[in-house]
Amino acid sequence: MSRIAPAAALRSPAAAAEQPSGGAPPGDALAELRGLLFSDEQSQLAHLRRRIEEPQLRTEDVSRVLAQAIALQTAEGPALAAALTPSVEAAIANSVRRDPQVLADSIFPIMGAAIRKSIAAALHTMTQSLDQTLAHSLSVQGFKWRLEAKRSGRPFAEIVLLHTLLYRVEQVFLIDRRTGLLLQHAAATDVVVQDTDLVSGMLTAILDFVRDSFNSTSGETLDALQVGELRVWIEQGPLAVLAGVIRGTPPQALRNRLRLAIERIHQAHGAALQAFDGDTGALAAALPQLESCLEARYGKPAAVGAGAAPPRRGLSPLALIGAALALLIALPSFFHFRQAWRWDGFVDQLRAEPGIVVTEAVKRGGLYRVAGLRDAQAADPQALLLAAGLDPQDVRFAWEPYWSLRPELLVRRAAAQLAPPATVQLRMHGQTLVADGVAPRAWVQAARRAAPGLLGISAFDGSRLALAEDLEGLALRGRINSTVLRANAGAAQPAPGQDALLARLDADVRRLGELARSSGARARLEIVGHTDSRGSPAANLRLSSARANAVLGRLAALQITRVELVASGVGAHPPLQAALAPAPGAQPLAQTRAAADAQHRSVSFKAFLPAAAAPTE
Amino acid sequence: MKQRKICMLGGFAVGKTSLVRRFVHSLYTGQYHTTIGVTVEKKAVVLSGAALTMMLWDIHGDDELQRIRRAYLRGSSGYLLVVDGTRRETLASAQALQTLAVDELGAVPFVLVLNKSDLMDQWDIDGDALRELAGRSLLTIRTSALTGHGVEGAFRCLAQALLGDDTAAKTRLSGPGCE
Repeated sequence: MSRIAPAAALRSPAAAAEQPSGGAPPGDALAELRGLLFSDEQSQLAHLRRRIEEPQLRTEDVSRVLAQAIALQTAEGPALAAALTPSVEAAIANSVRRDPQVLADSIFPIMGAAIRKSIAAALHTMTQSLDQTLAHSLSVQGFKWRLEAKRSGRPFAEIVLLHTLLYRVEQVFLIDRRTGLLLQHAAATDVVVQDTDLVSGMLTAILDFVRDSFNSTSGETLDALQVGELRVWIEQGPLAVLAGVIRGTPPQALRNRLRLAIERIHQAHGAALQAFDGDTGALAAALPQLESCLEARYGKPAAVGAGAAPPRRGLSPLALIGAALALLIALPSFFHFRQAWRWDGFVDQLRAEPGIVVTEAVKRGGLYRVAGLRDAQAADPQALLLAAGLDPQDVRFAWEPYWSLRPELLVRRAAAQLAPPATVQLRMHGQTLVADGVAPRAWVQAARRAAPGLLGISAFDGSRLALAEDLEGLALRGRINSTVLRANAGAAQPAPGQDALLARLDADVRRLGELARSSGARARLEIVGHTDSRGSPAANLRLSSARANAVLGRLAALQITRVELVASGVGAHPPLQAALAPAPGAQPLAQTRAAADAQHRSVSFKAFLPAAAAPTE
Repeated sequence: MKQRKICMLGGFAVGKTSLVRRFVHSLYTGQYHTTIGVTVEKKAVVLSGAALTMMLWDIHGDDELQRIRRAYLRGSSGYLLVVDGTRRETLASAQALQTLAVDELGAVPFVLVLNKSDLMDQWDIDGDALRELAGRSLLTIRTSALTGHGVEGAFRCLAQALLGDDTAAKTRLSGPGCE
């Protein structure tokens, strides 16, 4: 009641004036009372009503809490997402319709990565299977499998995959545990699927049979079947059974994966399983869970059972095949290139060879053909061919003969014509054939006559040649001049025991005569007699002359022409020192007078042979 | 697609398998019978525009021990109870099996099939037991797996009932051959 007084005090003056006049209806009084009692609440109510009735205000209110509300609802479960999905899809579709560029720009940053990832995965799979197929294409095993492929009419790659399969989950069945009806089924691509409903039924029957037959307690039941390479792993939930049909030897991890899948299916689709009435469509949402179990692992058969054995490192089959291919390609190429290289070298050598002009060098039908001009004096192409390491069988030559004017060929042709002695070297100087060395006079004369008549040679220069005869005469004179014949004391005739020396002297003098004749000259041989220093000079002079004449007479008896023999005595004058020089190994010069006397009793010689006339003259 | 599990129940050699083969037209392998005592077959039927796939569990009958695996009954929406019309003892088997089915499944619909109608001259069943059993069944029908007589009707009648239209099934299928 205490609140009434202030309320009354707040009344408007008009209302206060009306009050005493009386006669007011009771409703007005009530309204007034209400006004007095609830004026605050009324104004609040009016405010609230305005907020509810005016959309603008309501929108503002909602907008203030919308974000928190969405966050709260999202945290509570997927209901909001499910409710929003159609709107979001419609919004996206609308956006694309209106301007595709906006969405394209938005997802552009993730598209590249996604596409790359997808392509990489596809390539990886392809490389792996290609590698595997290749690896098994070249082994004994591979041939067996190839036969199997032929027999069974299946592609080879499929046979390889089957044999190298570690394991593959080929099918997954989700079966209603109570009725044995198939709820969902997923199969890998390329797997031949039998009637899944029947398989589901029979599988359930088998499970029931086992459970019944072996009186298993506490829910234990069959969890695996094996038929050859196929095995069926079964995971049972309270409402449904998950059965994976697996080819190969799966790891235990797969068992866990199947268990997880059946748990998740119960979790997400428990209500649908509970209410299952034979309508398989009700469990369509469980299909992704089944598909997630369809996995496969490939590897080498040896790795089966070894668990996660690391892949064998080393050269990959691809690399080996690459190397083999490279070798197959490179080997003929190597031989080809070596042959080509040798051939080019040979042709280059032929072209550089004097007296050979190559006009054509080609390979035709596996054979090489060389055509051109060849001087008869040029190098032999067959010999060059062999030296180059080429098979003469592979090369055919076609040479036209010609005369080369190159200096080398001129010299060779001159040599072939003139047949110089080995001591003569020929060369060309301009058009002159120049001869060096030692040659007999006769050859020089013949060459001088013949050379200018040869092709490309207009003159012969033999001025540098030494005549063989001159050289021999020189040597001959030296030998004769060093000859000393001994005589016994008082005797004119050469002392006995010098027959060999005398015979050589005879031959030398005879040869001297021959040389003199060949050069058209006359030789002269001075024969000088010596005595020892004993006795009188006159007697010695006589004795020395007698000794010289004795030898002269002997040589004159040989009747050597063209050698003039001259005898003289010089008494006790010793012979030329050179003639007295001891022969190698002889006793040293006599130190005693007797010995010196014995040496001085002798005959010495001096031969003269005029230098031969120059051949040009 | 709606599916239902249906059992074939009956004594030894009453012709359950022959009926299923006649209905399903599938190849038959006796292998499962001898190993685990059941063969599952499948037949899709369309009734009044509604499709139903019947998974038919052909359960091996055993007169001597009267024992079938109860587990095979589990989850059945209905069953065909087969009696060999020429052998009285199969009716007793059927009675026992029907009791077992009720025990396991509850009151699900079943069709009483009096098979071997082609051998009516040797007919050997009659009386209260049959009438009592027929009274509980959705339908009692004479069939001949040999000639095919009544076979389709027996299965379709059950299918109709399972689709929730058993009165229509009864109306349509009552007639010659039905008790």
